[in-house]
Amino acid sequence: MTTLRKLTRRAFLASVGLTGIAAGGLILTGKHTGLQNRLHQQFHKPPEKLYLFIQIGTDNRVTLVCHRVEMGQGVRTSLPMILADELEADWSLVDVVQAPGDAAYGNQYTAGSRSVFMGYELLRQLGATARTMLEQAAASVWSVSADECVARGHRVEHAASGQSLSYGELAELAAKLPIPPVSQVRLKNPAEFRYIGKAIPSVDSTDIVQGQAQYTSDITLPDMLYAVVEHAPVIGARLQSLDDSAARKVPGVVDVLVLPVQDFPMAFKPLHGVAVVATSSWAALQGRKQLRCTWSDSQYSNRGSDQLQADLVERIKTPGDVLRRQGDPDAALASAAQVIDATYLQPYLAHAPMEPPVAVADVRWNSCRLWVSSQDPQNVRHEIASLLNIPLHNVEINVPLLGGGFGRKAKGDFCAQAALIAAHMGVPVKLFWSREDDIRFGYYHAMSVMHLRAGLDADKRITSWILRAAYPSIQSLYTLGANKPSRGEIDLGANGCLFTIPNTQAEVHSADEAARIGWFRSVASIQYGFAHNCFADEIASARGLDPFANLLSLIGDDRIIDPAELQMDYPHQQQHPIDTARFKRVLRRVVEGSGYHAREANAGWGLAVHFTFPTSTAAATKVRIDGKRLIVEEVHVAIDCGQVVNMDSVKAQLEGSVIFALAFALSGRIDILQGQVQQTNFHDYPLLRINQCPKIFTYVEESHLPPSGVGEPAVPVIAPSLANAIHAATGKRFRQLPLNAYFEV
Amino acid sequence: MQLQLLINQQQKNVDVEPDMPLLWVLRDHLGLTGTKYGCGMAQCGACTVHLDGSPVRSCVLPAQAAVGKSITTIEGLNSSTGKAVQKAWDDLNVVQCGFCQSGQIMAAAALLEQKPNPTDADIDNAMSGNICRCATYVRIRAGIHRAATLRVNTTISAEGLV
Repeated sequence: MTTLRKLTRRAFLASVGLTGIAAGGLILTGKHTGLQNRLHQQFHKPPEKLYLFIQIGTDNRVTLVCHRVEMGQGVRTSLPMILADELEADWSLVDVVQAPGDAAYGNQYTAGSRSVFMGYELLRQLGATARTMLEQAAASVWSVSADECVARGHRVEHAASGQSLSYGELAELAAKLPIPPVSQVRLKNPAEFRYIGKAIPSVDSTDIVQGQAQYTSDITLPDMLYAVVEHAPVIGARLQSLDDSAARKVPGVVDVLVLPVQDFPMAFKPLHGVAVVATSSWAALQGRKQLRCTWSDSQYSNRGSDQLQADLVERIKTPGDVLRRQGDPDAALASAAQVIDATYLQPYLAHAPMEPPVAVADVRWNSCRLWVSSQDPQNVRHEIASLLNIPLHNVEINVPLLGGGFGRKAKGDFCAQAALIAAHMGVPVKLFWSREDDIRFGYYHAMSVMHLRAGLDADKRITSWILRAAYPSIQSLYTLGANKPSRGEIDLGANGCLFTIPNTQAEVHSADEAARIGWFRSVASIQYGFAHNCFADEIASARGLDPFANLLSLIGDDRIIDPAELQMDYPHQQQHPIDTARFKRVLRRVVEGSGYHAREANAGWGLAVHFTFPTSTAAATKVRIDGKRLIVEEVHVAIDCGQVVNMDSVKAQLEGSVIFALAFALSGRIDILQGQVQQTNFHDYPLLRINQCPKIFTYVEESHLPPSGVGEPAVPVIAPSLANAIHAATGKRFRQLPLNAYFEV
Repeated sequence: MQLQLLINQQQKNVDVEPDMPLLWVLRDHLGLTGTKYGCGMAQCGACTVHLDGSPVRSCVLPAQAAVGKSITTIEGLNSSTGKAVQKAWDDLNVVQCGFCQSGQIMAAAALLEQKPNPTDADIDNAMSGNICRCATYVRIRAGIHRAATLRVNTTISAEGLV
């Protein structure tokens, strides 16, 4: 393994001024229309210019920019690996610099498992373009044809004459060359890959283990104050009275201010509340405790999760809006020899990243600088510019490491709070959320009620499959009263079903949110993956089939599924066709890799398979039941995500997905009563701990097909494989999560 | 109130409220930001430091209670055990987001001082107070076993393992 030079804090902060650096070195910039194929137009919209992703210094060091946000998924290693590979750079001579939030870098919105998936080709092209220019520069030095010059391991070589020059020696000359058209740039064959597909350690590991890494929480500026906000207990409620006299007497408290009221829809607006600003975090927290506030009601004050669940369980018994219909499911059901149905319930969930939301803002006249724990720095930049009426180019957004994200930090509400408070105070302010703020005022994963019904003919073939889904929609964030799932949410469940069944129908019902709804690692795939896989397992029982054989039969023959058949909006079919052979391959992998076929008393195995973000995953989970105790002993998880970039981070993401999903399957539950979230911290919103962690086995398909998502796709197969394993062990179905309602976990 | 604290073998004078938890003294007053805030109620372990060698949750420990004791934070974890844990973490690429890892490493180092060759059950017992939301638990277990081996087999200089 090569040794990496770690990015110092100074270098990290210097990335802000990136546009001015590398005098005397190669800067790849300027418009590069050849790269603007359809994919990149979607992803890098609009690609006004091609950015400073690669700099080569005359000192022979290569600086690669990571334009996406690092939150533990490993992009600060994997994205530079792609650039370095095509560039033929020596990884030990590479420095990684984090990009600020700026549209110049293309799409930086780090969510949806898209960083490698959507960035792979673009980054390869960039690396290969720089390599080509270095070869051309060497050719001009030696007065030979560029075809005779080969870049290899940070040097360009000329085999015939035995000459070679380092990248540092060529940098100045290469920088003067025109950027070649894409037709003159050759991408490597996979056999030539130097880093892609290998396991490379995180570039930040050493800093992290020494406590030297910088998160937004750790940013300290001269004269900085600390702020926390007492939020309205119900979203949308307004402050009616405030007595801050006791709070102002708390030593260290500097000021108390009211953040403006916000109207629905809430989107990413800075939440209304009372900010306490102090000379330390502790003083701010102590001051907040002394506030005396009364609040109005809001439209959420009469809403709650138990009530919504009870309503939806009734509503789901009636027909909903039909989104997909194939064949004649009603007739198939009417003529079925057997009909089975089941309803699956999941609660609201909170993201709970280890670093709660935090932002540091320094607002001056007509300009500001922020350090934000945000997955979406460009959106934060736009929001702050608009909120403070500062020109966009005077808003500087820096993105240190994120202490976890999971979708929560895709919403910049807290960044806007920091900017408002700092603007008022006239000095830098670190606005931080306590864990209680994080759990009580999140953007929750929607609670869901999913009803499935299937007809079997006399030969136990499945002739119909009807799904009715009901859950509050993310759309409610943006549109007042939006209470039906959006297209994007529905299609995470393949608009109903990916199994090969002649008569299918997918319906949705309305569901009113009681809180801000947001995307949460794997989003609606969680409820779809759970319902489909648990129901498939119930069908296996009805058919008298082994669950593995049943799943293979439901998936059907090897074929490419046409998204039109699913009536699904799926823009990736060309690069990432929906391929049943790949579903079966990952399923076989976990069955063959595990002890799935073994039978033991009080133990059982369960399976699940899913396709989302658009990657195939499968899981085989083993449980043991010891009286009231549920022990998850083993989880085997397989992924086919096309070409792997960093093998180590793919495995780490699989391990993380298993635990993330077990946490909510076993004990994740947010209750809302009269608009107020009832849980507050890890004692009542427990996450998985090491003593609950099973043995995890990961299987990664070797493939040179285009890369697809990794961070999220394995999450939805874990909970159903667990529920199915419990059935195998006990003969009982558990259709409602979390499972700690039934077992000690 | 003036407090004198012995932190990473250096005497530090701070003027803070006596009930201020050690966590905030370290982070806000002394710039030792390697120790993290995660919950404020000793539920997650992100704030773990050593007090006279034992792991404590600094988010609930009043700074005054640390007077006269030796405080070690991640920045001052210079023991051979600590260095072995850090090297094992690096070798196995344990970290994902990394935010909880200072606390994990402090807890792991304290465990290894007590039990140089811990079993998985020992590890689960000692580490169950430290939450990792990215879920690096499989590698934390492996990392502690590796660190146990490194302690025995490697000469450790003041600068770290070589």
